Amino acid sequence: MSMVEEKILGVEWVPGTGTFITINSELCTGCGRCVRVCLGRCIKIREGKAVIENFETCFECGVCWFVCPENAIRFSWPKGGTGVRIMYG
Amino acid sequence: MVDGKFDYDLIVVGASFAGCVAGKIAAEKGLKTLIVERSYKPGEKIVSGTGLPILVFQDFPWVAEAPLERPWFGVVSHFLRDGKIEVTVKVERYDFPFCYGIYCQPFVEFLARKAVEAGAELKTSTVAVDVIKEDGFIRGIITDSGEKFRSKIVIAADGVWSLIGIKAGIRKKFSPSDMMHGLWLDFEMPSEKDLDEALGGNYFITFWDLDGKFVPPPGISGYFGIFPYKKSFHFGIGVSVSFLAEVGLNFEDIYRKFFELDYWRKNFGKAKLRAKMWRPYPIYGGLDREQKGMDKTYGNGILIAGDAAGFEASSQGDGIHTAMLSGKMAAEVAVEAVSKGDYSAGMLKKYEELWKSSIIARRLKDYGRKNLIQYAGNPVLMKRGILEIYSMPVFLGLDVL
Repeated sequence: MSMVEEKILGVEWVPGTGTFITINSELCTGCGRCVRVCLGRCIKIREGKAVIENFETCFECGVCWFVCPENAIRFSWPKGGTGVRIMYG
Repeated sequence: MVDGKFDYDLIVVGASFAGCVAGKIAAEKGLKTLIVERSYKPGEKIVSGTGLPILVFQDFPWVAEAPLERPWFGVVSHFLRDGKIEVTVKVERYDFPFCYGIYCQPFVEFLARKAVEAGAELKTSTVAVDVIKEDGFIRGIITDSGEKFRSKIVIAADGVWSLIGIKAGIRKKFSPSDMMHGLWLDFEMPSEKDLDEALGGNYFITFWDLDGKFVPPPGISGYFGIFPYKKSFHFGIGVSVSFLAEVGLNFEDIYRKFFELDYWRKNFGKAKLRAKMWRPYPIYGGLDREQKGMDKTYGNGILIAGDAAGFEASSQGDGIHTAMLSGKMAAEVAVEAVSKGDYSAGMLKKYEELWKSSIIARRLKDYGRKNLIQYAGNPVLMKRGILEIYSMPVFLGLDVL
């Protein structure tokens, strides 16, 4: 059975989004909630703090922002017309 | 109509189910209306397994012209135990489909076109990053390129996140316990006939896990659902965001196990994976507005509609009908407010009175899906609970306003 694996099919990413999610490392406690919910695997814990490693597989779903108990994540939208384009949504 | 102080009568943030309907109706009634949408093409940021409930056609007959993929006459619920289908239950109506499968992107693009045809102006690739606040009133928006557009009223129809609703101070960030996160896969069959045969009829198909072998218990997770379209389908499951955050879940392991089932191999073995996508959606909050950090859906110069206002229909997992209906109600109140020259919260409160006495509130009152959690571990109760949900008049499209 062909399966999901690592590749994300059926989407395109238009560059030029800007940094639309930021994590305040002063507030971050490294609890890992944002890492667990991120299906694009964009966030990693480095030296006890959450860090955004890439925006290239970010669906702009904002779930990292919803689950952060410390309000350490700032979430806004990518620049208009950029970011994820979903072909079969 | 619009004097020097304002660029528009109404600005709608978000060209999706609620926003396009609001824009269409406001423009038809003569309001100078602007819709801003952050995507390049309306609908291309939306993810869902989507069935358009028949109630939508009652309220919006013109939607019959939209790109519809496949009628669904019933729901087939397969109950799995030990990796096998133990029992299958079908709830069906014979006279008329209860839902139509749709792809969100072309459907929402259709809605946006209807709004534009009605005279609304649509600016795509435009993010509303903030609101203009003056004297305690919302007086328009500021875009990501720094442009300011002033309006008498703003309708925030910007989805479950509603950054504009938050900026305007009428709601807060939703709690993770009020949301689900769904991972959806899109599959294409070799032909429409292949899909007909695999489905055994025009049914929406759900799978419920009686012994917890695949997924967390119902109530924490939703169902595996097959949302059939013309020759393709969506397949996926939603899981409580707070569960994902606290415990975590490997969706891909779940799906992999599922694809090893005899049922899947036999019926959908020919299906080709075409897309993988995810999105959160509001659910479980019900009518508890305080829990949603939103004691009201209006303010001076602003209304909030659709997912942004938390208008889910929890037990059916449907937010489209309530979104479209709330967009209509918001537009109608905006039209009245503009005709009276009164954009105050006192006037716009009418919107909340309208939806609270409508089917929107009735659907919010129903916690059916959340209640499923009490059935976990009791297969008899679980089957009964699920049958109750799928036999509900509102689900089958029998509810009338």
